[in-house]
Amino acid sequence: MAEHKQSFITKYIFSTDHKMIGRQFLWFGLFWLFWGGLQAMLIRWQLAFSGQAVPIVGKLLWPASDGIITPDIYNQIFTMHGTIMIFWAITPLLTGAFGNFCIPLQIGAPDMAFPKLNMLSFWTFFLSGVVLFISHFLPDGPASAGWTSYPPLSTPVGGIPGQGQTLWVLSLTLMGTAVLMGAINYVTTVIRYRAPGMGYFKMPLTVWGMWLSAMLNALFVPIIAAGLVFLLLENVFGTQFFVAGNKATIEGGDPLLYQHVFWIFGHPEVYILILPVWGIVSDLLSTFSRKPAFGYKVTATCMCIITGLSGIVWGHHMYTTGMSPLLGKAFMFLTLLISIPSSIFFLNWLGTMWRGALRFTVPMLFTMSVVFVFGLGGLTGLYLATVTSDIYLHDSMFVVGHFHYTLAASVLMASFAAIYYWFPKMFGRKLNSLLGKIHFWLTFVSLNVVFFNMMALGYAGQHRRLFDPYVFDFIKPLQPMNFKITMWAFLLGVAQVLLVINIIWTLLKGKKASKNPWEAGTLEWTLDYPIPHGNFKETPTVYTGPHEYSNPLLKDRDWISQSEPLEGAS
Amino acid sequence: MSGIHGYTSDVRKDGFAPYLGMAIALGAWTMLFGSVFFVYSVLRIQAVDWYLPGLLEMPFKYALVNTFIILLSSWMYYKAVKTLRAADIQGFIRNIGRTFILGLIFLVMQAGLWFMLTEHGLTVQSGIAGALFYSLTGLHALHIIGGLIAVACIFIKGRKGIINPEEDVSVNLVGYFWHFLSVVWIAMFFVLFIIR
Amino acid sequence: MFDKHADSLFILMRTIYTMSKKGRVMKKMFNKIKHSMWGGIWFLKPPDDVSLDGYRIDHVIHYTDTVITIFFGIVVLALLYFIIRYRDRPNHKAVYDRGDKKKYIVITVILGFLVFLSIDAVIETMSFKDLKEAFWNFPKDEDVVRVEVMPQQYAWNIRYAGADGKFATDDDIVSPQNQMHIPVNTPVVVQMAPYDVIHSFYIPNFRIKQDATPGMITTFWFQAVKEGEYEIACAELCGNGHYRMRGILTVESKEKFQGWLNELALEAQDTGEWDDWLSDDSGSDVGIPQGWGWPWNKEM
Repeated sequence: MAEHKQSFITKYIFSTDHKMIGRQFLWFGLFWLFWGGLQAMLIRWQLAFSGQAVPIVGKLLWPASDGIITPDIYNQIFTMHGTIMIFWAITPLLTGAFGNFCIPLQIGAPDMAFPKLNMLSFWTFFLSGVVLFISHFLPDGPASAGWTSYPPLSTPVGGIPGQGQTLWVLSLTLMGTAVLMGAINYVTTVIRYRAPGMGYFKMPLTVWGMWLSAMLNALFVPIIAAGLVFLLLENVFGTQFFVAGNKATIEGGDPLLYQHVFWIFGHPEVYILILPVWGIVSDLLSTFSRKPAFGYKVTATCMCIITGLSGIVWGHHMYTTGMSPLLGKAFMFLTLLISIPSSIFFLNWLGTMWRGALRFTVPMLFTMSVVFVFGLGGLTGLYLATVTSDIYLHDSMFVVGHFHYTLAASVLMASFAAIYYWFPKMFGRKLNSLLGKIHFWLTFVSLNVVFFNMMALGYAGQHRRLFDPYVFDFIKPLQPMNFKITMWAFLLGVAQVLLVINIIWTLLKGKKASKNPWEAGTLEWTLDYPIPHGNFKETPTVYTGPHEYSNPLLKDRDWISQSEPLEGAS
Repeated sequence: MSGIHGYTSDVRKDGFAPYLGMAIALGAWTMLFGSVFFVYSVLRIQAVDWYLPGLLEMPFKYALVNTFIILLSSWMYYKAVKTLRAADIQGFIRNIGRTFILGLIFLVMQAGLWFMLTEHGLTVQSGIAGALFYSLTGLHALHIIGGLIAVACIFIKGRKGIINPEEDVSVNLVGYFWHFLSVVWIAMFFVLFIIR
Repeated sequence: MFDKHADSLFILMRTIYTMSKKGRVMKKMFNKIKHSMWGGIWFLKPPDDVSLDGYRIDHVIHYTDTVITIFFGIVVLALLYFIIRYRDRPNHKAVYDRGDKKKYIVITVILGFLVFLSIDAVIETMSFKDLKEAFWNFPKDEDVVRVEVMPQQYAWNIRYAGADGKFATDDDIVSPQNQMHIPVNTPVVVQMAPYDVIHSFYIPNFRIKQDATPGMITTFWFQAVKEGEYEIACAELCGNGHYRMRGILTVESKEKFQGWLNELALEAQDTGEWDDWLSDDSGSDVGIPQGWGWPWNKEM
């Protein structure tokens, strides 16, 4: 191995090595996950113990109100919770950390196509995080117009004091720039840097997911950037592109325009988040079922179809805005079409497990739970895709439960699966599996109780973003359920401590992992830890598909690396 | 790409990758300016009257001259690439210099245009027309500043003699961006000054 | 091989087609599912439906409940069965199967059709029908009550046309803030434009929700079938007081409603003020903004 000296700064901070950048994204994402998670706890506290001071941290955070959450603080918390979880927690975790770590390793590339751009991407992302973090400590608090920040509420006429919204827009613009730089890198790397023999249909499905989601990023993030530019001008220069009605001092604005721009980006964004999940789930199910991914090409094709469809269904977020009947019907038809490729994923995932030899490792448990929670999350989307049922369920807790099932549950469970799965390759040590299993069961059970009951609350009529829902008589009977959800949410929060303990303990004292602890076939497992800068000593040649498990040609083991020819396998 | 220092198995040199990356970036920029035009056109179509205070019409001729300047700048860049291919480094540096100066003139003239229109009462707050005008041209001008910095870097590289006819990737990439900005300006000129 | 499967697929399609054409079996099945007031999968129940067309929304939800339960049930059962049956153990080996044989492709296609026919097509048909017959089919007859609603941060302003039946005239009747009265068994058409930011008019007992966006007038209609007091909520985040934007919708007999209107008209005549009527009863601290009320938009 060629030794080369790197200073601390070039190795750990301004590193151009995709593996180090991946690790940086991992810690960055986990920090924000923790921060956003705390905010979720505060939201739940308010919904169960309205008017009571938050214990321990309350007096520290809001001395003015004696630790009690006030309506404006509540609005700030849920706005920041949504923004952080979507853009600063799960985006860096899946796309940032595992996209960076896995793409070059799995396609046999020495690094990303543009390592310096990659570094710039992380540090822009970091800067955006700093801006967002600072906005928490403004005298008037951070933005509080919801993560969608619909104008006119998010403009000066909305009546929210302070510069929180301006910083929100700025940080989101920076974040978009960072994501864009990453996307350029991912797409180019996959197209140009595949090892010899690595055809598109020999790539692991994880790479497929990351690649398609990067394409969506490159195409749709600029759209929200345009919207944010206008929103910034509203807040800084007092323009009124998105303001109309009595409060408008300038004629000709249109609030609906922002909603269109936001959701043209916003709907692909959820697929940006979920596409890597589908890829990771397909790969991991195959590895731990000791069977090739069932209908590999069909899965990849369905991913492409959904990628295409995702760009033309944004209107289903706007059914209740008074949309023209024709548009409403068109959007409903297109949205419901997504159910077809989605159902095929389930067929293929179950097909992968069918007649397999399932190994219930921690990553496998998390992966199987994604099949469960994404099933619920995906199917409950049907209610919201339908114009009539959406009239009732729109902006209710049902929506909250639904997108937490798809984004929080599915993406988070897949992120955990990815952390447990790739940890040995990232840090050379295997996470403790007993702690991992306890973490899994606590998370899985409490998460389902929390999010399923949220949907039930929505069906019972409770709407979103209420500081004190019990103002309404029809919500008063739901208080016990809200209390129950809060308790389980606290359990969900506490359960994550196990992951933190596991990570810290493993990093310090964990068992050193072997080269290929999961007996997987993809290229990253052919490398010894620590993987040197530049990855492969010799560029690997790819002979077989990514999941040739239990191939009858194999004699004394049931797996084969992609860089081994099948005939020569012993 | 400088590749990975010290390690023997270098990033495989792929001459096409930077162009592909730039193509994706330009696609993203197209989406950005496309969305800006989308917002503009929706607001323009919905507008009852397109009020430009103090102005009977936009200073069409002034903007036309400016359009020629940025086109000339683009053309100079094109000539620079040609001279580089012909291994005429001195001619290359001269043409890049001209590109930069023409770009700078464009920017100064844009600033002049803004002052002129502000004098007439067309400001960001004067109405939706003014706000849109300044945000579109402003966003473009910001990108022109970025482009000018990139062109200046190429110029300095040329003076230092780092650029040679075989290694012209960065020259080409900056060129695409610069031509792209010209195209965007022409679109803006059509939208803001001709169609209105 | 493929032809054989394609044949069976064709037969399946033809059967479904003839069944739906003859209509008997399919319609019977369909109606059974549609009208089975199976409570669905949700153990919490929505507020009582007191509207003419709210049942349509409940039916769509119940149908979706049914198909979801079936499809998700299959997934979960398969998952559990596979977990037990195919767990890794000594002397158990995975079967090498890439799932790319033609028969699997045929199964995939069948699943696609099945999902489309049993979920997408049915839900769409139901929803389109409901929209055409009810939600987007505004009552044409004269016997309707027209109401203008202007939400503001954080209250509901409600006005009626008054004696001349025209809005934006001197005899408009402004209801006390946050109080809306409507007669029972009469269609109510509402036009809505907010004062400041986006709000959303939400009456859970009627399964109705409609955004009010600045700069545009949105219209919706509903009809009450039961007298009583119901709550109006704002469903779109509109600021710090979003949670306390609560209105009361009183459904009463036609006579009572007319009496209430007349009383309001007299009261307004006494004070001589029509528009800046400030509410003491509602307990709201928000004053009514001046100069609202727009001519009824007949085209909508």
